[in-house]
Amino acid sequence: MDEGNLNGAEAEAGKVVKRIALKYCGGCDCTYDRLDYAKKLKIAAEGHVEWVSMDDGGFDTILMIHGCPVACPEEKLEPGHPWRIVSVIDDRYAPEEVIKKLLEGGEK
Amino acid sequence: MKRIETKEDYVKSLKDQKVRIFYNGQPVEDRSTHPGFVPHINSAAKTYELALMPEYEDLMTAKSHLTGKKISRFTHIHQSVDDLIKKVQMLRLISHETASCYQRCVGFDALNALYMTTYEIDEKYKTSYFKRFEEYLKKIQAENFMLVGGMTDPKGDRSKRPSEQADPDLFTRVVEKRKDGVVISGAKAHQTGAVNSHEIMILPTQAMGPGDEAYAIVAAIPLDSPGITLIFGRQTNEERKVEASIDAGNVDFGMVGGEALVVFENVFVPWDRVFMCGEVDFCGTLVERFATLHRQNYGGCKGGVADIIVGASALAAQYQGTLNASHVKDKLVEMTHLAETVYSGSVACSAMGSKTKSGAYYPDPLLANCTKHNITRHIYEISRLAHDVAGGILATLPFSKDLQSPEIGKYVEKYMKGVAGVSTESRMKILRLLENMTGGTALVESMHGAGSPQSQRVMYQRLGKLPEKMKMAKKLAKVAE
Repeated sequence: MDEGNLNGAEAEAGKVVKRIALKYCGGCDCTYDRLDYAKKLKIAAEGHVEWVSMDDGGFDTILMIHGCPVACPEEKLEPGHPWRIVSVIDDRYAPEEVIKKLLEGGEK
Repeated sequence: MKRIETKEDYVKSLKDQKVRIFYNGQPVEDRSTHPGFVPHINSAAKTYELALMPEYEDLMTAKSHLTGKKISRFTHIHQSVDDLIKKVQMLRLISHETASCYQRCVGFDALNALYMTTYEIDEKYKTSYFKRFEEYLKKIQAENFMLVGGMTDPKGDRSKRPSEQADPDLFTRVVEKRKDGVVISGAKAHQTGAVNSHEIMILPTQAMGPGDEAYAIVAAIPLDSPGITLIFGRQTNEERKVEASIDAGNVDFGMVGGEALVVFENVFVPWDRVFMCGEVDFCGTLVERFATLHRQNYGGCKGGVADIIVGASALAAQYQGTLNASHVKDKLVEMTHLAETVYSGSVACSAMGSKTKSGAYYPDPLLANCTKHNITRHIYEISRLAHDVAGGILATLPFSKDLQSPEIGKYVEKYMKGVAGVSTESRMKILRLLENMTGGTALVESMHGAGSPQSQRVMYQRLGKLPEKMKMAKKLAKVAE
């Protein structure tokens, strides 16, 4: 993983730079192994993300891992919610790219 | 009761609550470790285990509309169409983990049917069942115990009403009303999950009329109450559970829901646990609602079970080198079509659900009945195709002990072998799983669970809007008379 793509010196120093909530869909009929992919994402984010749950609070970004394109939990968020959402609906994307998107901000 | 959170909490709670149970003529000392019950306990325990996992909590848990707390979805009252759909999704998910029945939906459906109906009984009769029921609901949401949905009475002579039976106990009834409560006698048959539950919610089994007041009883009863006896139902190949070998097929989770006959002999129930007593005009409504909510489920749970049958059939074919045969691929496609058809029925009746006066949501009853009716056909057809794909070996496979035998194991190893790279034992495991899931008790459950097919056809006659359809036809044909 190219750490230069993360948050510069802080990332290189291995410092946690962002608190991000991890939210899974319910997993009724997944088209890929969500847990295996989440594990890869966590490895790619090691040292740069403090993972929390939505109940914990204190985050402005949510990584939503959905088992299929229906993306149920994202659909159910109240309009105007304050969070930035990064959604994953399959395992096509390289984990490093997803983490880069999470850390850099910008559109979902 | 201390709140049940984990599988360990659940198993301990079963051990602690002493229930009078008989298995094969013998009393059961410790239901939490009896080999006949452990697979069913493991299945029900999945509902607790998955609820604690972040990757499943979105389906397995809900927010209580009474307390705002996070609760098991199995104790939730549906607050939206989304809740109805999530119920179905949750059932498919758990089926993927157990390939068997996990039993808690029956109590779940009883809670929802009662929430709607007690509200309407109070509205008409100025009774206080709804308030009483809300308190009970808070209790089950807080303690997360397992509730049997106790609907089916033995019924004796089916041509006679409850009050006309030669033996009055053939429908569960109130034998005495006291100042502090009621005394119940009778029995409930085919009670799913009863031997590994904590309480039973008894409900009337059918619509009733004047003269049947004693039978119009709804009550929540702890299963360790004096006067209650459970008699476990014999299942196909149940002795294989005791062997705990690969011959059991679904070794950890068994087959269907572990049904039992629950007998009530002068069981006292205090008034705060009684939610209907004599209101015969609401029995039909309550039964119809419970049936609809329960029939809604089947495309979720059986759809999920069918996914495993499809997967096991494909593996059986792969292990014997027939997976790429065009007719096998076509059969697997047909099985998939049937599984997704039943699932779509459950989703459809949920999506077309509506709000009742109580605020709770209710699935479309006609579509829910169609869903369950399809189960009585499609699961049989899926199972027939599984047998076709797997071959006759499904019925003639040697014992697992033959495979392990120092004397003859080499023959089983040699002659039961399929393709290179797959062990004989793996092939036997998959075939046994298929055998477990596609025959005997497992199939009969698809036919009669949540009501026999005729009960769904009766609902078609009532809800099918035939006069409207005749009117539409006349309009198009320009028939005036």
